[in-house]
Amino acid sequence: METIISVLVDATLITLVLALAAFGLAIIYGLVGVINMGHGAMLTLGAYFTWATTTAGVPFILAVVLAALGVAIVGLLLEHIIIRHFYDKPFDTLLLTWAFFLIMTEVIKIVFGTDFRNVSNPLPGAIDFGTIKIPAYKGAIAIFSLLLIGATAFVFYKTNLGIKIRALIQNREAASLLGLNISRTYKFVFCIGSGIAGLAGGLISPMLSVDPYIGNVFLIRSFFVVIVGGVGQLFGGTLIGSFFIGGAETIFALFSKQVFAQSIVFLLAIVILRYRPAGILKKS
Amino acid sequence: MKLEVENITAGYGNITVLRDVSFKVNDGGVVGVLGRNGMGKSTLIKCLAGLILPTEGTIKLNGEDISKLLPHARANRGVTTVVQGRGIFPDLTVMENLEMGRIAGGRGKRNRLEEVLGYFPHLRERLTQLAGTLSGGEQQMLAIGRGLMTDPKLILLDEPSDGIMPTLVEQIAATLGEINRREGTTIVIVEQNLPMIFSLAEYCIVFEKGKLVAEGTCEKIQKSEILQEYLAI
Repeated sequence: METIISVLVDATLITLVLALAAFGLAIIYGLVGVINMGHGAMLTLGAYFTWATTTAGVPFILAVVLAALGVAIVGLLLEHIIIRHFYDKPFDTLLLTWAFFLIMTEVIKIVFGTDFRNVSNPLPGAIDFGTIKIPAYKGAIAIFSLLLIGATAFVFYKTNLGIKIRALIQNREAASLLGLNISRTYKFVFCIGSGIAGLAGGLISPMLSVDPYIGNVFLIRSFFVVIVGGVGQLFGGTLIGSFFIGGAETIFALFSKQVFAQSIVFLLAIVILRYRPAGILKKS
Repeated sequence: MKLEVENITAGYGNITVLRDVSFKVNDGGVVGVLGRNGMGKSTLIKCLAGLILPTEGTIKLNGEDISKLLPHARANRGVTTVVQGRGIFPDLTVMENLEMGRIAGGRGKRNRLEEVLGYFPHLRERLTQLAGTLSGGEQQMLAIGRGLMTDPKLILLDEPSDGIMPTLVEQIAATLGEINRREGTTIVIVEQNLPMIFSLAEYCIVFEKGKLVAEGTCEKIQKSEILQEYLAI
């Protein structure tokens, strides 16, 4: 029983960390329709920005904020210089963002080298709930992930900005005929999605060693999260997708080896997509 | 708002649909656009709205050349467009659809909600309902109401009677007439429903194969053989 509760807690934490990592992709893919293969590089950049600034003595929280801003600016430049010319051409944007990923990975290698770097954990230790111990930092990240998704949901459903973005997704032509500047709104959304990816990279950095491939760990999983949850289903979709990809793996790992658990999860994802091709929460 | 269309040619890619079209609509005027299907009427509306840009010619609003402006820039100059099929946001509530009309341009426009609900009182009881669940007539009222929320000076309408019950068509035509009289809003309306267009417009232009082939007061058009010649009526 103890083991089961412990695994469920761990699955919940991993679900929420993965949701945080995938959320930037869910925003960019779901709202502007760009399959952002550069998402992994954005996570990596966020981690390196955090490492560089904390190493220079900047407090961790400020470092993460700076990482988010830095990656948001990189995303803004990427959108402005390249992506905006290729909206409505998903294959082109897929290749272009993949090129961004490759170039950015090489740039990171040149600037920072390939050595493993460590960002010290700002909340070491664990919170003791009797028989269950929750790593304090992972727990904090899980709560932050929920808050971030909740806050974004509030903006999305309860503010004028949210009305504009939802209108844009549903009928771009009608939105522009009412006066909405489509290219500016796309730019804004791309920038926010990039910034959240940078934020996630920064927040994840104390949990893993920082190297030029740290973002790769999350790239494929983030895609599965978005596709299994349902493209455009930003909140419920991201959480459910994260549970299927991250949480379920933890649960399956209870009964088998990690690699086998991973295989089961991806197999499960394929089966889900066979019967729900638009994702769990999205109607076909 | 005065609209001047001078020698515009427009189309889709290499296909030219409108050829050398010119006409004027005076401030506060209502012009009906007639023609059979596929003659370029909807393309004209798209061209005026900025959804397609003319390859030749100019479109002027109160003397300003807007030919190269994108739809949002035209909307922010007081042009609102009710497209064929209504173009509502189905998963937004009626209230959010209307609010989108006010906020889309980003500037602090005056809130016309009460005026709009005055024109379309039926929408008041539907404010919290998802727009996609409205009937066709209600959706059309919403589309026009949402356009009014932008505080327009020129309304472009493409087949507003399409798929709507005849009683509602009369009601919508009467409301558009009231908007025109009360607010002095200029209207350009593409319509197949001749009684609707003749009840609303004072001047008509007739299209045939992308060209403006006849124009005149609605009275003159009705009495002439133009209807028979170009509309097969």
